Amino acid sequence: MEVLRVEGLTVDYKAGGGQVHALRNVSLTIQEREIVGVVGESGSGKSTLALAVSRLLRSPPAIQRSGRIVFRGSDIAQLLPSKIDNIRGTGIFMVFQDPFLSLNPLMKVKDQIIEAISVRLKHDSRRFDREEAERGAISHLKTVRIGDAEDVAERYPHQLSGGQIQRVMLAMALAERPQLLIADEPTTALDVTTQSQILTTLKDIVEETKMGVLFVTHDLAVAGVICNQMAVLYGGMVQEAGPTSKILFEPKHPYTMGLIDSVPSKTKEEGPLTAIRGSFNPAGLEKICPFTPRCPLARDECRKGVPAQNMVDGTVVRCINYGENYES
Amino acid sequence: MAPLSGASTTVRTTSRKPESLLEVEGVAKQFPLGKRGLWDRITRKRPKYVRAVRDATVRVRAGETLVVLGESGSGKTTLGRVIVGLEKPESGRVAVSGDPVRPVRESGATRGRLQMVFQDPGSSLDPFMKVRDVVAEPLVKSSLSDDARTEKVLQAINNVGLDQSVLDRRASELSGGQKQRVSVARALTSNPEVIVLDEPTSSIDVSIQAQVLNLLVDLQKQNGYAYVLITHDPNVARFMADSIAVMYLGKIVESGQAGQVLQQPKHPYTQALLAAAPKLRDASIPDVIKGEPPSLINLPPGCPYAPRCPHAMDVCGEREPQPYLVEGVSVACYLYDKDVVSRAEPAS
Repeated sequence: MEVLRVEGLTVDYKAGGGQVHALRNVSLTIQEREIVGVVGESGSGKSTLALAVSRLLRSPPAIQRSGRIVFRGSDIAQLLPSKIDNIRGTGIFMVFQDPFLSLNPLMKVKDQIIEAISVRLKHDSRRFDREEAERGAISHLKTVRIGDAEDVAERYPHQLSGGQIQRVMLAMALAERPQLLIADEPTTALDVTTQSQILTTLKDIVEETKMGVLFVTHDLAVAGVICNQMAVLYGGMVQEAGPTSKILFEPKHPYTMGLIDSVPSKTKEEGPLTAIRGSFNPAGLEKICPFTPRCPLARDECRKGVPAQNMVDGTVVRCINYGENYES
Repeated sequence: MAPLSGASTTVRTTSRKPESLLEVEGVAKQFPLGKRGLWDRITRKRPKYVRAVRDATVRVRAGETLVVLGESGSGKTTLGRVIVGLEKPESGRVAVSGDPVRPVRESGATRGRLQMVFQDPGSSLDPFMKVRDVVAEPLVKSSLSDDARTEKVLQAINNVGLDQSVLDRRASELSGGQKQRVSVARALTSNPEVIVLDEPTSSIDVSIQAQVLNLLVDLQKQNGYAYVLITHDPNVARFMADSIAVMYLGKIVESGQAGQVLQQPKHPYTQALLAAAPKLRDASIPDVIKGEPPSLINLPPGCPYAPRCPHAMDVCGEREPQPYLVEGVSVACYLYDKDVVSRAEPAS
């Protein structure tokens, strides 16, 4: 069953006198129990996408130019702010990069999870029982594999490590049972050993609750481990999207290829790393393929317009090497 | 035949005992925890310490890279700061070609011979200073003429692959990759012998990371710098390292030649750390170590990794293991002490 469908989403930011395209014509779908990775570098628009879907974009400066964000069959981009609260938590739940900004610093861990449980009960029009909720909170903490769950439940967020807080966030997600989880770089601030634990827990929770996940990351290897589907963003556009194994083993877009080659996989004795030249600079890229200035395969045709999406062997690719079609 | 093989043996022995450019011996550094007030002093309350680095010994030859691999709280950055003289160790010594490294302000003989490139160029570069002045800063105390100084700055900027047009821009106007190149250029102007690189690529994008790592390797080949590269990323370690020291809670738990440590890790922590890092094109979820590191303030007695270690024996929680030499690699783990293992076996 389809949980989320984003169609042709375009978001601009007002900056100075002009406007910057943050997202251009982005489309993707997330099914039940599916983890969809959005991979990109800084400035690619991946965080804007996560914020737009959870309706947390600050406007101004952000303006949604066009597109639809369909959740549970209705376009939430058009919902009034007062209606959004009905969706948040029980419908769409977010886990952010910085664990220390996501919990209320003045509330005990236990009370924050109990609050999440009460929100769910209220949503289901069921009666709230404090003692039962307390037991529920502890059991959720155990499910996300927090050691000494009873002890941690009595603590305040500042007494927890980054990994523990991300686990508490996942425990809250368990309490709210959302259909869609949006995770924006949830393991970036964590150590690799903690990261692997959180990824395992997330995968277990997805199996248990059947929720869909939009997983934003800059780390291809992390996306490869956790995601079923992947969308590679560059310059605010989906350059390539498809099943994770297709993207990682048979990349088609020159940017995806470059990104994969950039991950160090050899020793310095074996020669220099393959690097993508230059760096991303959005100036002057509005009407061409945004990767052109850095692309090893760039030619004059790349500057004729914004390449349209081509369907190639099960993946979607925005590159004229797979058909000279333009969007604008 | 005989003289030939004799000659090759001598070559091997000389290469086995090379001159180390940087020597770090038994370095320990701890930080007092909080302020010790008057009442604490009257009652003679014992001050608490965070023991950031304990008994660290490493050597680096000219033209080679030592990678210090570890997670947050392992003490790797503190070790780097002790090496360049930004922190004064409680015990142990650091020397460059035999000259002891003193704290930066009284550095004397080693001034400018050690440099550090910091993790986040966004905060280690003054956003209002022009790049020209940033890069010239290590020369402030030198007796060079203005022309010679400008020449040095130009050379450094060229060496890191930046265009001269950046000289009159401010650090805040540059991209992440450019900023990190400027920090590297700043480290080069004083003709250092040792450069400590603290997570030089962790704040920049992967596509730029490859450029910066290639640059660092090229500079080392040309100038014979000894690098101490601090990282948490096994991929970066594999690419850069000649030798590796793995740190956990302030201790070097395993150190040796890079290929040995990365391909046949011996310490259970090294094994877990390398297994936990997700690998590109490997969809299996990495092996999971249980638990999280204990606090550095109340370190458990014995081996710091014992509470999480799947092989822990009774002795591990009692006494801290000293390093054992196994196949040329130094490993601080009782699994490599035959006596301990044979005594532990009947019990289990």
